[in-house]
Amino acid sequence: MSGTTSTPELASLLATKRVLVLCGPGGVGKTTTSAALGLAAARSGRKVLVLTIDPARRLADALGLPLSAPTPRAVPAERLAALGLDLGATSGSLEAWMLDPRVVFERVIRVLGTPEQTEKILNTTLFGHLSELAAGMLEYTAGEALYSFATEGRYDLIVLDTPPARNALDFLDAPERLSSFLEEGILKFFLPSEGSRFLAAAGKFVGGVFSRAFGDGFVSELQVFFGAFGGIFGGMRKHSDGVAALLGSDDAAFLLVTSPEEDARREAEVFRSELDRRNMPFAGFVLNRSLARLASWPHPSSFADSTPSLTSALGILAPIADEERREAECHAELLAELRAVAGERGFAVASPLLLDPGDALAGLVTLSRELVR
Amino acid sequence: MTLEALFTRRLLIVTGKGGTGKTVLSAALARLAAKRGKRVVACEVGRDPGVPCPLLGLLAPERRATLEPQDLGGGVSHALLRGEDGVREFLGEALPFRFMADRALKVDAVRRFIDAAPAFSEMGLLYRGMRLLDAKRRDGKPVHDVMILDAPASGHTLAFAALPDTIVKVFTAGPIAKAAKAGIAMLRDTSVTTSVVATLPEALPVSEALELEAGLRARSLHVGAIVANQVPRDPFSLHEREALERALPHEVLGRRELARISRAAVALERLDALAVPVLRVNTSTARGRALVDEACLNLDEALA
Repeated sequence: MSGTTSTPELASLLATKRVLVLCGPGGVGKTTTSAALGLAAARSGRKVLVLTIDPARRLADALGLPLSAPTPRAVPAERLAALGLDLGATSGSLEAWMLDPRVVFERVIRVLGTPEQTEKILNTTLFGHLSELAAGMLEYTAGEALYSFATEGRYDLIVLDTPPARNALDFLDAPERLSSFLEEGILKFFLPSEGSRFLAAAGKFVGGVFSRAFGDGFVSELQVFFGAFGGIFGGMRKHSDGVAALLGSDDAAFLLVTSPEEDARREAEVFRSELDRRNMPFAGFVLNRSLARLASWPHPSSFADSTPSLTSALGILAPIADEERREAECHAELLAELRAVAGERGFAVASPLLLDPGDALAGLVTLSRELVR
Repeated sequence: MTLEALFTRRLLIVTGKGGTGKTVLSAALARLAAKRGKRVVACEVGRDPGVPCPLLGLLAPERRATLEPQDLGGGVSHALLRGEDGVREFLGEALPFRFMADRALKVDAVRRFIDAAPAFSEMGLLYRGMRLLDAKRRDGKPVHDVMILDAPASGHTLAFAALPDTIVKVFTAGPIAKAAKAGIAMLRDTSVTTSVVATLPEALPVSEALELEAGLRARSLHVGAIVANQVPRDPFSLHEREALERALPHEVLGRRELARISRAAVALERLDALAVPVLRVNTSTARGRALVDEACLNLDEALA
């Protein structure tokens, strides 16, 4: 029925793809879904990395993730075993890493730059505050991290939890914005000695404006920072092309995570058509916190009882149950609409709202079992 | 804290994780402040006035957003804040001639640089906010007594609160450092600025609200209240609830609400441990303006 949660399409996705990209607005449970899907793939024997952006502390704790770690950490197998999930019996494993833009960017510069360049760049104040100063750092470094983990070949599957954005695919555009910040063309304006006389004059004007508004110190910082970047851009662009090729290939799949509180249908339509426009592989929709499966549950009035106190309590519960059924039916309808948007090539699943999520890791185990049986 | 105490502040930053009801709360606070005789400007952050603005949609759905405050009637104005307008305003005041700012912003490299750097755009927002609060009428009184800012999601608010410090570190001198210092002073003056944290009565959102509250305090931002939205009504006695939980199987309609009521009680208890007042807004099936009406009633009661 429309309330079902698991689908064979999702299971086959987890069994065959190398990269799964989860997009969606903030607050819909994207990180939880990423972790649950990662767990489901690990259960079926794959070596999985969940790359997350900003997990809630409780979820990070559940995954055994310290707030800042230079490399991925394995989700403690003994805690999973205690919950009845023995990864030791399969060849599967689950690791997680919380993206640290500065760690990733520093690695890129070390790999692509000469030792002198690296030292110069890392010593500018600008580098220390680059996340605040350059839009798209998070998205750019997420792509970089994906690129390096994917080329490393240590994992069968990488689940990428993208930064929350009003538009689910902002993630794909952000690196563009960053490269326009770091672009070589911009250098001409900050290094007035280069280029034609016209550019030199324009550069001098720009430099003057910046000095007046932002102070001399900042302009000389900018010059050191951009000046040291020569040659690194080419390498960065090559990586970006590699990421784009990977994301556009059959090895990758994009999922939209949404919830009944959002304008899920419209969001799904936009997501689907935007991916098509970019030639990116659409996989499906996950409707989170869905009550759809409750639609077939019995009404409490069928449990009429002779105890007077229970009878009165059941009476109070009846209208609440009616309301719940109406809501469940709405969610089931919404899921059917999402299926229609997904079409034949895609799917839509409802990730159930857990009645009693309990411990965060236990909740993830339950969710992974509901999503892939 | 009473609403009166909350509304003695001039800047109320409404924050919280996505999906916690920030925008409805912002609309309700704007209307409640106006009802108490304050001239309120309700602000949201955006890029393009042509795109529907959620806060304006709750206050006056028939209106189109404007960059300058527009009077919506009933003592409430609305403005869409954009970083770029603040940057232009700032450059215009920092440079000796306004035409220099206009010309600088016409240079592609400058525009791209400023567009790409969130710090500039955020600094622009702060600057724009300060200018709106500074605006005076002819009689010398402020045009707006209270600004309610429907802030983007919480991580962003924390970054925003930390921003002036970053600016001061990166730009050690010049007008931008001066403006950033003025921004820090405004945000940290507890008699001027306070924040209101929106959350939901569930374990995870409450943990996040507690983290956010600690984060705001660590950045010297005052937290005036935490508002728990969508709190379920509890029509049962404890005895009745226990009897139902014993008698009913797991998969029966209404079970979810029973579980939600118990979880809400546990979650709210954790909030009550804070030194910050916690206000409750009941769950509702209403949408849009009707939902704002209900939130106003609830908050009015909670703050009476």
